[in-house]
This record gives sequence, structure tokens and C-alpha cells, in this order.
Amino acid sequence: MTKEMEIHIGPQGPQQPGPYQLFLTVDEEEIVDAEIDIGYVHKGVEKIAENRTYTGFIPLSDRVCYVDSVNNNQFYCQAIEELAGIEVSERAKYLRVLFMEMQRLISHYVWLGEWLSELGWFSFLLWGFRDREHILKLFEETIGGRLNMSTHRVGGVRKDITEDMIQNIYEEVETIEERVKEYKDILTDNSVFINRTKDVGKMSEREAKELGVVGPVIRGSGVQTDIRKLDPYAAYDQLNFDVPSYKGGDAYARTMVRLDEMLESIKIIRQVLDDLPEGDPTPPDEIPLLNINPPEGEVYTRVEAARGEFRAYLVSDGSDQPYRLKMSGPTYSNMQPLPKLLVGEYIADLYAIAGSLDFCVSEADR
Amino acid sequence: MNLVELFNYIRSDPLLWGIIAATVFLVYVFSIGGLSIWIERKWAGLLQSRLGPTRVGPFGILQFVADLIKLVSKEDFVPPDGDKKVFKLAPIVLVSTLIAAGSIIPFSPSLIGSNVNVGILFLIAMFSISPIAVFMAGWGSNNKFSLLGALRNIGQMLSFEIPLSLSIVAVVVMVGSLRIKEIVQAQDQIWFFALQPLGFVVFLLAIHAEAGRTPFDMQESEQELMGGWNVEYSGMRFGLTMVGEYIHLILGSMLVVLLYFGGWKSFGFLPPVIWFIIKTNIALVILMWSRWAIPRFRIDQIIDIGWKYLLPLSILNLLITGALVSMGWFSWI
Amino acid sequence: MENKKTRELMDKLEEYSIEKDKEGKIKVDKNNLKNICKTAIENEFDRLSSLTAVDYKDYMEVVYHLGSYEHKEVLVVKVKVDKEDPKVPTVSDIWSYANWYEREVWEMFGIDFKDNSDLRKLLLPEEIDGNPLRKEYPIGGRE
Repeated sequence: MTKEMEIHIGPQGPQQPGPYQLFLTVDEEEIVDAEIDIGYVHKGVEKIAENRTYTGFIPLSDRVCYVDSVNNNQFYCQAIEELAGIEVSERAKYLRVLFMEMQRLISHYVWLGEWLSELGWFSFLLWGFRDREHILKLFEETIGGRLNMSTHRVGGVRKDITEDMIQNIYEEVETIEERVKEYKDILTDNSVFINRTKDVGKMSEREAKELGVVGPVIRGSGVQTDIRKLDPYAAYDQLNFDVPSYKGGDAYARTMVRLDEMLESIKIIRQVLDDLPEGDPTPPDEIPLLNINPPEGEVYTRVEAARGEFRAYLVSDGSDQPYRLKMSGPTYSNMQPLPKLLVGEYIADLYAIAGSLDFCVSEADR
Repeated sequence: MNLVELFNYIRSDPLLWGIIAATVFLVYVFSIGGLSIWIERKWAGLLQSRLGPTRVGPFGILQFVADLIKLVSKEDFVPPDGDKKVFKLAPIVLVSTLIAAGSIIPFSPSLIGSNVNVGILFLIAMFSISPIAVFMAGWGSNNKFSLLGALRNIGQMLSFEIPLSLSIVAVVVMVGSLRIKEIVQAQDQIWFFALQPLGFVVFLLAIHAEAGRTPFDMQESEQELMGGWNVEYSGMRFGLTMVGEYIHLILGSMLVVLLYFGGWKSFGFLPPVIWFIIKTNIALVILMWSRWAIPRFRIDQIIDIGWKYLLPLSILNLLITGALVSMGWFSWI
Repeated sequence: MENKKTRELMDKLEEYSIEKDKEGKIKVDKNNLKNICKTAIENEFDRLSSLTAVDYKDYMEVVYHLGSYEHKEVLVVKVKVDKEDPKVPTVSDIWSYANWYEREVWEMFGIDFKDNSDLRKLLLPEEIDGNPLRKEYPIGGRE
């Protein structure tokens, strides 16, 4: 006869990428009931947005999730541009894609390191952060920041890049590509890793849709959906890339999706550098830097952030402050099904599952 | 009473001599063991493209001293709701049994604590006490994570104790003695890993799992169990739990060398005891290597490996060895 | 923006809509909400992309974005609610993942989702009173 035991994990558990709490009821090793609680890093970003000017919120949009700041810039600037009918120059579009794909690589590296160290493979944490450093250095060189760069401006990007920087990016991307391929080899070969991840946290295609997950998680369940293809923004309609998806629906499939995505990102970066149009990517003078007044109206816009579909809903009343800004991040969608996935699994698989969903709690809490 | 008489007196009293041997082993663990810790850290640094310790002493070799000082100077916290006596006793039980096991390790033909005639049996018995100590710690902490960790430890130990013992028995059957010294001396012509390849593999896996370090550290798994059975320990008591784990590993690598790699048997030019230490450290590094190269197993998977693969293999190994011995194949040993 | 599917669906929803425009926005009565959602699911709009609310000072609107994983079109469904006694039927029985969205709108705007039995605070701490995203709520929680 066994007795059920309730254990609380978090909010500040080791290795968790941000605070959230899990209430688990366990029967020895097996989880019989789970409940999740978020909101530990709620910053009231949506309320703050209503009291900032349109431009004044751009730096804050970075901080919604520091691991994915450029993509957050994109959804916000894109919403204003759609609302105010601002055209972005071709070079700026390409540079935006460049920065976003570099950011995707950073985000996936952080995920790779943190997740595998959650599985007890500490070496990957250091490897992931070593490689991430290469891209952070590139950002430092091109834009001048490492984490919250605020690369975007309404109507363009903040800074142009020079010929030297392009050469540097080419070289670094070479190293990164080799390493990603090496990691993929290691992970597809390692039987311990495969045993830990195959059939763990399984979601069939139908279940994934019913749970409303997005991004690499749903692509790991065989649904080939990607806003970059579905509703192309920036310069994605002019670039040639694939959307990797795997049928497995388990932690292993999600890993492979992300690793393939990293290779695709590298492919996109090369294309952008190859056919970067000439021109000035910074916003033209007629777009005011500080007080943009989009006309009254509302816009719903989406970008494919590193963790999945980021949805933003912006309402304007004609003043220089957003009337309402609603952000639904991918983590918000991917976190909600976690308790359902945990029931019936072992405690040891807790982080194998949670990690494979790749949370950025700050983004879910806003 | 002059010194020689005193020595002879101590030598004649098995208890006193045993205590001295254990102390010598302890000194070894803290000195050469410190070297092993340094090797491990530098080795890990190399694998993870970082430097490892650099600050304390030449090349950071004294880092473990700094760590020990830090541990000693920390607050010794005892959970107020726990079973305090059990909680306090657990690390002592763990370390003292392992040190006692160390007292029978022969470093060289002459440098040997007690050459007891049931040597191997004694070692296995001492190893089996460690899950009790771990369970005491897990229970005394009155913490759910500790308890889960301790339960995992017991499950793991139970499933690996038997293949471990059976693979040792195969060696014992070959040599015909439980004395470790005689087992080493029997490896005069050929080291036993060549005669016992299957048993060697089983033994290596089992001793690694027993020592409970990544990838076999389900009892601790700092991610999901927040550190497992020793989560409530702090200060020197925590230090003792770590030392216990380390001694377990060192003892394990010593056993690998003694049973399968000829103990102190040398290629000359260095005294046997140095050869023994070198071999032990090589075995240690190899055991530690896996920590950085593979992720942690899951508890049910590891118990599966113990019961479904290692146990049948070790029985098979014992049967083959027994058959060959009875046919007189190993009479030359 | 091309929105053929949205228009087809809007034609089917003709009877429910109080007001509609060309870009795929319809305003409906809260009593018809569930029927609309069911019709949308049958017509390739099977995903609740986002659920939120906007405070227009004298009234509030709950905004549903219905989309799909397969195509890019989005139908915006708006339900006007009274500010004094805001009540909307829940859609969490149709999409299980609507639960968090509804909890968030409930705590931020004070809109009650009828039949949603799981309305607890999601992001805010228990001790917070009031509904922070309403326009009259002061920044920093104080005047």
C-alpha cells in the first residue's frame, strides 16, 4: 500500500528558466496530479504600455523576454507600422530578419544548454553558452548591446551594418554551423539521451491542437505551421527556407525540431548576407522619432518568435500612447498544458518534459 | 618500551592496527584524494572548454583545501522538525563504514592495513551499510525530497549490490581466496580483466552505479529533487556526505585496480605503492569521465539495467568461471 | 489583405452579427457567442488565437481572435459588455486552453465568465484588489 505525497517544486527550483511553481501529488515516483502557478515575475507590462509613448515602449518590449528580445521588438514595431501605414525599406527588412534569426539562435542555445543540464548533462550548458557568446559578440559589434539590444525602430532598424561586420558574421556562422551539426550527431547517437526523451511528454497531432501549443512544440507533433511561412512578415517572403517538423510528438522530436531550426536560421542568415539590398535601413526623417500618432484603429499581428507564435493586439485612440496592448506569448500557450502532460509520468521526467517545451516565464507573466 | 616494541604491540592488536590503517587511508583520501579532485576538475574543464580551478595554489591544485575550509566554517543546520539524532548520525555512519572498508586495502605487499582472511566479504558488507546511512539521512531530514532521494538510493543499491557481489565471487572462485592480497598476488602472470572480461564490465558498471555519481546520481538529481537525500545538510555534515560519496568512488576505483588490474603489480622503476596510486587515479578519471559525457539515467531505467542485464550476465559469468575452474583451467594461478 | 475564408464565414454568421466590417471583425451579442464559436470551428477557424478585453471607459469589449494552424486568416469577434455587471459565457468548454485567458481577463478587467468554475487569480497575487487593466485603475495601484 502506498500513500500519496504532495510536493511543491519551485518557484525557485534549480535550473528553472524563471520562477513558476508546480504542485505535484506523487505516488512514489509517479505523478498522479499536477497544478501549475505562474505570475511570480508579473511586471504589469501591458498597463505600463498604456502610459508610455509608442516609441517609449520599444526598449520595454525587449524586456518582455530577454532571451528573445529582437522578436519582441519586431511584433511591436510591426503592429505600429501596420496601424500607421509606415513602409519599411528593403534593407531594413533584411536586417530585421538577420537580427531575428541571430536572436533565434541565441534563444535555442540557451534552451539547449539549460535543458540538457536539467537532464544531468552539465557539459552542454557550458557548450551552449560558449556558442551563444559568439552571437552575443556579433550583436555587440553591430548594434552595441548584448541582451536587450532594441535593434528595431518604427520604420527601420536602429543602426546599419558595415562590410567588415558582414565578413565577421560569415565567419562566426561557419563555426556555429559546425557545432550545431556536432551537437545533432551527439544527440542522435546517445542512447541514454534517446531513452530519456523518446516517448516522454507525448502529444499527438490532435492533442497538440487541442492543447493550443505553438512553435517548435507543435511542429514536434507533426503540424507544419510557422507564421514566417503562413503570414510572412519582414523579408521572409523573399527568403528560401524550410520549416522542420517531426512526427514523434515527444521531447526527442522537439529537440530535433529546434536543432534543425538552428540550421535553417544559419541558412537564412547566409541568404540575407548574400543578397542584402543597398540603401539606408534607419527610419526616414519624416517618421518622427518620439511622438508617433497612428490613426484610431486596431491591429492584430503575429510573429514567429523563437518559442513560437507571438500574438499582439494593439488598439489606438489616435493619441501618442497605445490605448491597449495585448501580448500573448508562445510560453503562455505552451505552459498551460504542462500539468496535463505531467500526469502519469515519473518525477524524473518532470524536467525532461518542462524543458522540452522551452519556457521563458518572464514572457508568460509579462 | 622502545619504538619497535610499541610498533610490534600495536601490530599484534588487530583493533588498534585496524584503526591506524583506517587513519592512514583517511590521510590518503584527503591528500591523494585532493589530487584526484583536482584532476577531475581540470579534466572536466578541458571537456567543457573552460579552465577549471586556477586561483588557489599552483594551477589551482589546493582548491579542495579552500572548499574544505569553507565547509567547516559554515553553519551546521539541523532541521528542527527532523529526527535530530538520526540526522546527525547519518553522515558519520556513512563515512566511518567506508573508511573502515578502506582499512583492508593493500597499497603494496607490505603496506597493508589488515590482511583479514575475509577481506572481500568485509568490503561488500561495509558497502551495504551505506544505503542505511543514506536512508537515515533521508528520514531524519523530514523532507520529502530527501526521502524520495533516499528511497531511490536504496532501490539502486539493491539492484546493483547483487551483480557486484556475483562478479567479485567469480574472481574469488578463480583465486580460491577471499584475501585481497592473495587475489593481487595471483595476477602475477596475467591481469584478471583479460580472464574475466564479462565480469569486469559488470563490475565496472555496478561499482559506478553504487558510487552514485552522474549519470547514476538519481538519489541526488539536483534538478528534480533539489539535491536529494542530503538536501538538508549544511556545513561539515554536508562535507561529510560529499566525502562519503568520494571515498565510495575512490574505493571503487581501487577495487577495479585490485581485482582486475594487478593492484600494485608494476613495470618496475617506481615503487609498487606509487604504481597502485597511479592506476587508481586512472581508473578514477575514467569513472568520472562519464559524468560529463552522458546525461543522467532515469531511476526505472537504471534498475532495469541492474536486474535485467547485469544480474543475468553476472550469473552467466559465474557459471562459466565455475565450469572452467572445475575443469582445471585456472590451476596455474 | 486577402480574406476569402473570413468573408464566407461572416456570411454564415450574418444572423448573429450586430455590426461587421470588411477586415473580418464582427460585433455580436454575448448570448450568441457559443453558436458563433461552433460555426467557426466547422468552417476552418478552429483555434482560439487570443482572448482579451479592452476597456473603452463607458463600456468594455471582450475580443476573441479565431484563427487556424493551417491558414493565416483571423476572424475577430467582439462582445460588448456592461461595465457595472460584466458577464460573458465561457468558451473554456470549447477550447480547454481558453482557461488561462479567461482567468487573466477576469482578474485584470473583472469580467465574469459564466460557467467557468476555475476563475482564480493567475498573474496577480491574492492580496491585490481591483482590476488593474481597467482605465480608472491608477498606475502603481495608487492615486
